Order: sequence, then structure tokens, then C-alpha cells
Amino acid sequence: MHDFKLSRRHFGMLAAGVAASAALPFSVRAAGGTAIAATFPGNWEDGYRKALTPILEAEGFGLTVAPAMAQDQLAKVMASPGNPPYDTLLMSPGQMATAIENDLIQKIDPSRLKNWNMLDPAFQGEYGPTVTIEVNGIAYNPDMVPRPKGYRDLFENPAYQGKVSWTGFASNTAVMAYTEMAKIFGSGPNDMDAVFKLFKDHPEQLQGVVDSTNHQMTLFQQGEIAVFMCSTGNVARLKSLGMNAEFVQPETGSPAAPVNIHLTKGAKNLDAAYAYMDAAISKAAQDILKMPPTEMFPTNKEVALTPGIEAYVTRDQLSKMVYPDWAAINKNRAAWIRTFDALVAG
Amino acid sequence: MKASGFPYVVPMLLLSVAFFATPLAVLVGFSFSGPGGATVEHYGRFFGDAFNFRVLVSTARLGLETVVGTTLLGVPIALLYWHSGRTARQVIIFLTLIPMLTSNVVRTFAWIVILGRQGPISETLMALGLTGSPISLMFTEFGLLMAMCQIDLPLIILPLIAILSRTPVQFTEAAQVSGAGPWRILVTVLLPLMLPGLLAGWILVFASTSSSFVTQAVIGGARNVYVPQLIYREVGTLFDWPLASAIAVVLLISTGCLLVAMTMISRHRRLVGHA
Amino acid sequence: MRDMKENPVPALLYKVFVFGFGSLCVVYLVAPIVIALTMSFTSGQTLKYPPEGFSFRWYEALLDPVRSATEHAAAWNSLKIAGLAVLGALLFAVPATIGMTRMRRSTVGTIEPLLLAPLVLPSLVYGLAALIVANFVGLQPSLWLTVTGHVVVFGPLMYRAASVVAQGLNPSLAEASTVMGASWFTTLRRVTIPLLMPGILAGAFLVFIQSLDNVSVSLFLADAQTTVLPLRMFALIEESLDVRVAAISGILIGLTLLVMLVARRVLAPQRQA
Repeated sequence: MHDFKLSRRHFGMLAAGVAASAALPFSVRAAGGTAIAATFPGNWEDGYRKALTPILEAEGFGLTVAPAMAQDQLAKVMASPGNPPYDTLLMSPGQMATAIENDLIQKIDPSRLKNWNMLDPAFQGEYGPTVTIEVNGIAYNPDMVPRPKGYRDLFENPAYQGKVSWTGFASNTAVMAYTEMAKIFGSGPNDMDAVFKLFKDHPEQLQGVVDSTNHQMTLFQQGEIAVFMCSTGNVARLKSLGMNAEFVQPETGSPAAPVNIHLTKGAKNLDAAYAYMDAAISKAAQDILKMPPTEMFPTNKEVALTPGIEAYVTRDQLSKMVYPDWAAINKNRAAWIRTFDALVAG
Repeated sequence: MKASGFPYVVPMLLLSVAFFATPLAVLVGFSFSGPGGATVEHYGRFFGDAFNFRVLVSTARLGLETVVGTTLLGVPIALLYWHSGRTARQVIIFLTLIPMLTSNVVRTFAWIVILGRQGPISETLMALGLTGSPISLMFTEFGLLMAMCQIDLPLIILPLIAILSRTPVQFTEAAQVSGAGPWRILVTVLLPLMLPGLLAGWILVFASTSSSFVTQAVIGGARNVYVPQLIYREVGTLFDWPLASAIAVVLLISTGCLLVAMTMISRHRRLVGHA
Repeated sequence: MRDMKENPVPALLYKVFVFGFGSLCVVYLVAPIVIALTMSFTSGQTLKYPPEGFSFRWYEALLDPVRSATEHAAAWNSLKIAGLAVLGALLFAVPATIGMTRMRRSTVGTIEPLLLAPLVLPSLVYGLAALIVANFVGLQPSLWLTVTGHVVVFGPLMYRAASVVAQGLNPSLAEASTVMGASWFTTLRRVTIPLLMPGILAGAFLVFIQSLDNVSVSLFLADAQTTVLPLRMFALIEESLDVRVAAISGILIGLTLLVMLVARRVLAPQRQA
């Protein structure tokens, strides 16, 4: 600090420069209606900006893609009652149930979507269309462990001892795996006591418990763990980055989570928001989004699956996926989280 | 002269009241809100669970341990700075700034490497024959403490350097002339000189460890849970905002008490120093 | 450097402690960052240690205006917010520091906790509560709301860093200046602020860096079209362990080194007393 002196004049110039630049607008707004659409940050954000903006512009609308994780989208809308910062949200059924319960989203009018009939009935939600579906399973490193058959294997085969990483109940991926395990080891999807007992009997499984899937991807590539619960997307990305990772559909079935677009209550740019939803389920957009790096499973019937996607899941298999009851999960989630945390902390 | 300082403080006080006290009031309001009017139910829920109380205690403990660790590492660096020439001093400043210039995500990533099975710690222990198989310090409290101490170290060094850089080298001359050895000078002259900086550093370090959560979550894993992680989960996963607010108020009060205690010590010492 | 005439053993031990152990502490401080930087020069596809080979490809990717357009926009937003937050901290926290040196200790003891309180509240909670209040009084999320939030949350860092130096100041210096006929503004400009400068610089740095690394406050208080850099970096790591995240740190460190070298050559000699 001793010799690191800025003169006041320099400092004043610097300050004036910063202030002047801040006065410039962040971006130039489109003249017509602009939809403010929340999406997940990263690839999803870039993909939607690239694939959907031209479609909306062709129809005279603008699109602002606002990156935020699902829980942050919800928190932000909840904190601004009646005055949502987004016109549309993007989330899976777990968060959708919370959004409906708190009266944050509204039912949509399907007649305003030209591409509505291109969706299977399963994807025509009354609270908005399903734009893709994430299929979950088990990721493993073939260099370190044999191919697991399913969840039971991970507990009963000593080859996996100390090499599996789990996450707490705050993660959607984890909750879906645990409800499956509750069916296998207990009496049904909500018999979580059976799962807790299972972990109590296998304390070595609790060593590598972390907070979220993205931490697991880091640990996986550093060789700290060899198995974790994942979506096909996680494994596709690990593979595309040159890592030795494989995806397994558990013998008992793969839990799946659709991703939906929802219209917020009090959305200010309704026309643009509908145009955005329509664009997101259009063939033109999904043909782009099914390619790497997004590799989203297309929900529009007219879009052909790529070999890359088909390697993980085909359209026929969709009906065999397990779709958890999120209303029941949300009811129990707080208690499950606390029990599990206490269990992990020992 | 004594009263003339107040107008200078007014702008920051007003800012604090308008933009901090009002959100805080909302928070406190939330924490007492119930369907049938005011209630202390949420505080009851928090303290009713022994696990939560343990989390609160380990949060304070991690904070204090990090304060001790950063002090033990920071004071020698500050002394190195004090005894160095102009160029070396600038190098030390630069090296102190480096960790802060590295994003939290990246710093945490580096610590995963260091603490992991194939990391330098594990390899060294194996080479020395202290352990037969690779060990991992990931998800351990000790590993987390090592990382927190490094990450927060600049917060304690910067105030110390700010003081030392303002102090002429001749400051210790009187003591030297009177024949005091270097250790004596350290204890009787340099440490008292650095004390305000140490206290500031302790406050910054403690506040930082008790309110952040990325490093704790990744390095500590789910086995080591701290209060900010509890709050984050209540806010974003369970949407139990009254409980989240109650936890935040408890955190604010408990860390606030510790900080006030630290500040009072500093004021008291100044009193002594001026007498 | 200084002659230590008596028993040479304690003096030697002291030297070993300061130069030996002190240097070890510096190594501890810097080693993790060296590892992080090493990874940023990998020729491989992901952030991984040990890196697969040496290349500048991730720096090239980061600086490419097309491939990293979103990162550039996010970086610009974050730099703007951080710069304005420093400015705000200078305007609010530095006067408060000066004021506190001129007040009774008991008064200071009462007010100071109020000023420092924002340091202790997790910024996620602050961001959320501030958004609720802003919405209630009809303020929309915006750049200015974000900057205000950052000044509130990080301003105390400036206050604390500057007051460290202020505590050691001799109040009679300012008094002497006033007695000699200087106006309060001249005294402030010529005496008080220059004396506080090391603390102010340390504080400015802390505010700037913490603001640059903050996700929560920006997430809740910024308008929908404003992406900030740390949020973007989080997504890049989460999805693809993108090496550009480490390259961003490399560039920040390089820029700081540059600024310090320039400051050393250009600014220091002319102000050497």
C-alpha cells in the first residue's frame, strides 16, 4: 500500500468514467412487446437465445432470456407479489407444484399456441407446455467400478463400497432416486424410513454426500467418486468432454422429469409470452436444441431424435418412465431433508 | 471538536436505515408471522431441533477457528512485510491480492485438488510413509478449515499492511536504542501497533465465514453443515421463509454479539493506549 | 538490517521466524492459486488437475468476442456494478470513518455495530428482503437498486478497512491544520484523506472484489436482462467444467499486476515525499 498511491486526479477520472458508462442503457429494447423469459443459466440460456429469438423477431416480438435457477426464479417471483419480474418461468414438476400452491402461475390458453397439437397429450400441461424431458439414472466410471444393475446393486455389491456419492433431499435428481429406493427397500415411494434405515446399515455410503449434482461432476472427473445419480444430460456432457462415464437405466425403471414453461400470474407481455412458448415447442427450434451442446429431448412429434439422444432413450420408452408424485414429495420434503441431514452429520 | 464528527456519519447511517434496517424489519416481521398473528413458533421450531443448535455452534466454532488460523498465518506475513524493502513489500501486497482476485468457484476447485486422494497432501503423507493408502481430506472439518484459512487470509493481512505501510521504519528505533531484543520489540511495540488491524481482520474473517456457503458446501460436503446452508435451503428449496427469517435473525444476533465484543475490546485497548 | 548486539540466538530465531515461517505462510497463501492458474493453461477440454498439456486456447476462447459474447456482456455488467459500488462506498463509508474519529468513544460504540451489521447477514437473505421492500414501495429491480444493495452490503468493508488506519491517526494533525487557518475542506483534502489512503485503497479493493464475486444480491435486485459474471461462471463450471472460468481469474490477476507495475513506475516517484 505504501507506494501504491493513486493521485486524486486519477481517481476522479476513474470515478467519472465508471459513472458515465453506467448511464448507458444495458441493452436496446425491441419496439414491440418483449417477453421476459426465465431460463436456466448456461447452455440452456445460450440455446434459447440463439434458437428462439429469430422466431419471435419474425413475428414482431422481442425476447429477453433471463438466466436463473428454478428455485431462484420462484423466490424472485414470490418476493414480488402481483408484479412478477418474469413473464414466463422454466421448471420441472417439483417446483411447479410449489408455484401452483403459492398462486404464482396461471393456466394457459392452448388455442393461442399453433404448435400445441404437435405435442403428445402427456406434454400438454394445463399450466404450460413441456419443452423437454430429463431422464434420470445412474452414472458410473467404467475404469473404477463394474456396471451397476440398479440401486440395490450399489448397496449390496462390495465393489461400490465408498465410491458412490449421494446428495441431500434438496436435489430433485436425488429425491427421484430416493423415492425409487423407497419402493425397492420399503413399502412404497413415500416409505422413506426404509431408505434412512438402509443408509444407517451402510454408513460408508454417507461419506461422499454432497450438496448438488454439479459438485459431483467435479469430484467424478477428479476420480474422487465413481458413481452418482444423474440425468442423461450430465453423462452426455461428461462424455463429450472426453471423460469415461456411462449411463445406466436402473433395472426398476428410470425416473423422469419433464421441463415446462409456465406463464406467471400478472405477466405483462402476454402476446409475446405466448409467441415464446409457441416458439419453444416449434419444430424449427427443437431441431436446433436437440443438437449438442444442449441435446434436449424434443417434445414436438415431428422432430426426429438424433442417434445421440436415442442411445439413451427412445420415444417408445417414454411411457415406461417413472413420473414421481411431486405433490406428495413436497409435503414430506422438509421432514426428509432434516432427517437425512441429521443422519449424515452422524 | 468532539461533536463535529456526527454530520460525516449521517449519510451512511441514513443509507443503512433506508436500505438495511427496512429489509431487516421485514425479515424480523416474517420471523414472527403466523396465520393467527404474531408467534414465536418459528424460533421454537429452530431451537426445538437439537441438530439446528449443533449447526449454530459449529458455525461459530468454524468462524473462531478460522480467525485463529488466519491470525497465526497472517501475523508472520505482516512481519515479513514490515522487515522487507520497497520492492519486496510490493510483491507481498500483490501475492496477498491474488487469492481474492480468483473467483470463489476456482479457489474452491483448487482446494478439491489439494485435499483429494491424488492431491499433494495425500502424496506427501504416503511418501513419508505416514499412511499406506491414499487419504482424502475432502468432506472433513479439518480440510474445510485449511481451505477457509487460505481463502480468508487476505482479509486479515490487508488491514495489517494498511497500518504498517503508514508507520515509518524508525518507529521501533527508540525501543532498539534502549536495548530491546527483536522478540521484545515484537511484543511491546509491533503487536500493539497491529492490534487495531488484527481486530478489524478478525471481524472481517468471522463475518465472512459465518455468512458465506459455497466453500463450506463443496469442501465440507453434507456432513458439515453451517447456518448459511440451512438458510439457503429454507429459502430456495422449502420456501419456508418465516423459518429462514428466524434462522437469519438468530445468526445475526449471535454473530453480532461476538462482533460487538471484539469491537469493545478494541475500544478498550485504545483507551488504555491513550491513557 | 538492524544490529542486534546481545545474545545472538533469540535474534537469529526471530529472523528464522519472520523470514522462514513468514515465507512458508506466503506459500500457503499462494499455492492453491498457482494450482488454479496451472489448470487455466491446459490444452484439455475441462478444468482438471494435472492439466493435460500447455496452451493458451482457453484464453483465446475467453477473449473471442463471438464465442464468449455472453461472458463479455456479463463481465461488463459486473465491472460496472463493482465500480459503482466502490464509488458509493467512497461517498458513504469514508466520511463515516472520518466522522467516527471525531466522536466520543461511547457514541462510536453505539453506532458502529449498526454500520457493520450488513457484513454478518448472508447476502442471499438481504437480497430477498430488499426485493420485497423495493417491490412494496414500487421500485423495480434495476442497475441502481443493485448498486445500492452492493454499497449497503459491502460498504462496511470500506468503513472497517479505513477506520483501522483512522484509529492510529493523531487527531491533533487535523486540529493543527484547522488552527493554522485551513478550511475544513482543505484539511480534509490535504491532511485527512491522504493519511487514510492506505486504508481507503485496501477498502476499495475489498469492496470491488466482493462485489465482483457476489451472486445473491445481484440475482434479486438486478433487472431481468442483466446477467452478472459470477452467476455465469457458476453455470459454466456446473455444466461443462469450462476452463474459461479459471482463465477469467488469470486475466484478473494479470491486470492487477499490470496496474501495480504502472502505479509503481508512473505514480510513486512523483509523490515520494
